[in-house]
Amino acid sequence: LSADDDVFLARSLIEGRSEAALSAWRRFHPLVETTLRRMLGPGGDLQDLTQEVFLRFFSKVGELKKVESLRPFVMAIAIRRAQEEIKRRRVRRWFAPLLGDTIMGNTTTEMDPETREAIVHLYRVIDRLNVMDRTIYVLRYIEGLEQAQISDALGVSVSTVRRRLDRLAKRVNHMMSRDPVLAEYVGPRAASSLARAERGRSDR
Amino acid sequence: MNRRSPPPTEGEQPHFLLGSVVRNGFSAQRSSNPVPIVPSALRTALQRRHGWRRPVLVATGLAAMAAGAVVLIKIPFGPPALKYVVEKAPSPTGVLEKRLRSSDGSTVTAGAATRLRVMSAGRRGAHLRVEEGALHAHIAARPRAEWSVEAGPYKMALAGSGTDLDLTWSAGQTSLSVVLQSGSATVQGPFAHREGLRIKAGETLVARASDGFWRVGRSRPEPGEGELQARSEALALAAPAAFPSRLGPGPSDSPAAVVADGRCRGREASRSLGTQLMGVGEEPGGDPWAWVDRSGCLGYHRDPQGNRLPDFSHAGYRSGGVPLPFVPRAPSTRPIAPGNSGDDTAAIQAAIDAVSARPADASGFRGVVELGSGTFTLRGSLRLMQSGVVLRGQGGDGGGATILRAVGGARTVLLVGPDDVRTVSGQGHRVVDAYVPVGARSFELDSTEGLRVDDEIVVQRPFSQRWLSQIGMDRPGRPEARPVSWRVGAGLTFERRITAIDGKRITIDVPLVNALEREYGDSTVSKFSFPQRIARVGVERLASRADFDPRSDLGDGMFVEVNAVMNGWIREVKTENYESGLVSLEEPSKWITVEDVVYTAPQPSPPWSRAFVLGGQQNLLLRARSVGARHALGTFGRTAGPNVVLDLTGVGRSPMLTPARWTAGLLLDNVRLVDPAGEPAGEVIMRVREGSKGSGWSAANSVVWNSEAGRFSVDNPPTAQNWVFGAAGETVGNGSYDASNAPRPESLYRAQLAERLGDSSLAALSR
Repeated sequence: LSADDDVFLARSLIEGRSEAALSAWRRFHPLVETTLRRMLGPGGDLQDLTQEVFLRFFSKVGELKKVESLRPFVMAIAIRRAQEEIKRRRVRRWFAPLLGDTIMGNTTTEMDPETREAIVHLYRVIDRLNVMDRTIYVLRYIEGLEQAQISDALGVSVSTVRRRLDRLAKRVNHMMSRDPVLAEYVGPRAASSLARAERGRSDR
Repeated sequence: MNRRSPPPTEGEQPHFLLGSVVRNGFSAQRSSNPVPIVPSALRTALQRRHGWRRPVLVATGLAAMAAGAVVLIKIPFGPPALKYVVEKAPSPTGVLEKRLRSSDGSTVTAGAATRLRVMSAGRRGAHLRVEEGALHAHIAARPRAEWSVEAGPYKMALAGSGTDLDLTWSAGQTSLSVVLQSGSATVQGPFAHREGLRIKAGETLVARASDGFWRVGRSRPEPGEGELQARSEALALAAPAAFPSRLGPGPSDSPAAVVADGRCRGREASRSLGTQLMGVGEEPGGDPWAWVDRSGCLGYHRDPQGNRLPDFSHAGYRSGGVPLPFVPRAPSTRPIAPGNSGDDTAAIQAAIDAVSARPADASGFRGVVELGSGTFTLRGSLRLMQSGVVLRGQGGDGGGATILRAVGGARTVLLVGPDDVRTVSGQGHRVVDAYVPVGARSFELDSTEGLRVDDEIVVQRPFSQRWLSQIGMDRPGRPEARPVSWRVGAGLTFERRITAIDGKRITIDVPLVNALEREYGDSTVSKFSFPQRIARVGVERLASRADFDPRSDLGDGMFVEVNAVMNGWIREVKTENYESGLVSLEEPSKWITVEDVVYTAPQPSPPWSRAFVLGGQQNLLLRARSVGARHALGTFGRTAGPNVVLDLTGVGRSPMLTPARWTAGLLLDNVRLVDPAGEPAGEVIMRVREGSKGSGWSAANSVVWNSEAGRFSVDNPPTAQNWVFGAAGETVGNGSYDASNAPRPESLYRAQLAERLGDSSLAALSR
């Protein structure tokens, strides 16, 4: 039903119906915000970025070839915008003292401290990856996409995704093992922690 | 085409695990009410697309790089290394001094007898070593300055923001004293804190390497009016001690002789005279039971019978306010490594027995059994039955953790202290006061013959037939609920020490937490002995996981049981998969501190799962965390407090906190019961229970202070009451809920402790 709705919505958007924009906003806002948040990590206001993603989406939706691919289309725009933002933040980090601003805002206080600490440290680690590697890492391990879906979203071959993931897992493992907070996740207790997390999730 | 990815490899598991952490973490903060796309937002977004910023950014960046290049060309290798000269000159008092003057403006002045070496001098500072003697150092404020001083096993890094300090090192006594007048410093040494101690301006560190003693204190000016006001505000805000501190082991089991600041002590004495209002004339409106008065002292209200909130501050190691000791491992011994036999019980027990056979040192400690990193398999139980023995691992987290994996039949894995009872000697002395109220420390006996100051006594408050009838526990409840009644018996047994005798009136060290009512039977005072009780034992820095045989009764699974022990501790311990809890403090235990412990319940969690069991008396549970347990905390019936639960967090779908059968004098201070999303959940129950086990009345003369839960069900039992101050959650029952707007401290225990022993005692509660 959802896919049918998306097809209907895509057609309405392409035809330029005014009410379609609001429907698209309501439907895809959480997806865009989640994708941006997971790509960029904690801190920073996403409202402007989310708006920008939708601006691009509305201006490009006429180019959509397959109406059944509306959701991946939105997500691809969000990923592209997040990649640009990552690059922009890196530049700004270099010039932060000149610009007199801070790159990262405060992390949320809504999480429990352990989760917050783990997330901050994880993003500190993957900040050291290049933009493409970081994107693949986030899509695979945080978004939980299949390798083929990542290949579609980024326009690279599945074997490239696989090869990069192999390398990434080893490299990030190494970086995590040297991080005081993340070391626990690569230690001998990682397997039991994983099982525990899975059980905890099923509880909810 | 196969769209599925290959199954995760072992190397990928941490990433999927962290991915789930990120997803769960971010799901908590997603905006539930997204801002709709609006023209102003569109304008903002469009403005952001204007390209004027990028050229400015690039131009600024290029300019900065050019400026940087110029600087680098001019100063290719940074500032030169410091230069220094050492002079000998008489001080203003005429004593010959050595003075080191450095090119960055820093000076180090030392007495003529002081042996001081400059080990190295770099661009940012110098590294000094004091071999013996005293010095004064003034480190000039300079960005990224790196000065450090070494004395014996202690290494101190001084902040570059300008530091002034006095340091004294005695190699013979291995003692270090540092007084920091300005700036800050981080001291590494034989402390429990691997990251070192951070000292700030105005603080003093005293440490001794030979026995691990150390303490950080703050020199305080005489209190003036402004300070009293500030103290009042501080109490109202109840900022806990901001700085971690540890005291080394003391020579005896008596409470530490910590000097109180005395500001409220005199007033406390006058309060005990029986006046109804204990403030200094500024009783706030709303009839509160406790408040902070204008001078920053706690005020208590008494009811017409004289009952008041008792002083809970005696709970914890050495009667509270004393940091847990760090006992160093003997240099000649090495941590025990896990064996290959599939059962490490015998090896660890042999090590415990070997340390137990050693003579105790002057501090009363025999030594440490240190377990190395890795997983130890236990098929039996370990027994720690001698005073002065510490069982320590390498920590409960990370790759270097020490994990005790318990297999075989479900049982208690670690038994601390013999399962013994105190011996009461002689005929009891009868309490003749018609009513001794809650919070009282003084009462009259029929005679004090044979009693002396400092005698250890028990005050026995019987459960008489008449009293049971009064509280409705003399008859069974509904057949399906409470099939048996409570029995007549010894009732509550309070262990106390006599501090004064005046004729037939005695004064005791710790207030009573239950009234002694003559109409319900004679309470008695008797001397007792407890020769089998051990002291100064600790279990620390361990993790344990239960993988018990599922055919056994998993409800028997408990990690550590503390029996006849006085002045012991459990700290930094984590457990998983135990159904009955991480620790049980049994009735003969006293002055035990359990701190920084985490209990994770089995999944699925059985309805009887409990994280912590708090019995005994004057025990403290500090910063405990229960994850998934149905009962975050349990108590034993007829527990004679005071006992304190401070900063407990219970996480679960519906965590409960239910004291059992007349638990007297339990303080729940800053307790949080929350669901996995962090929302208040579960229930604190202090009322008559007619549920499945039908245990009857739960808590008496107990206090809930600034706590959070889904629901608080608190009633006042007949002949007693339960107080609630600052309960965030639904509140039901006829308990003594504080409805006043009186200022009150964030934490009652901390405020009472600070009032009794001085603010410096709060450092004992820091991590």
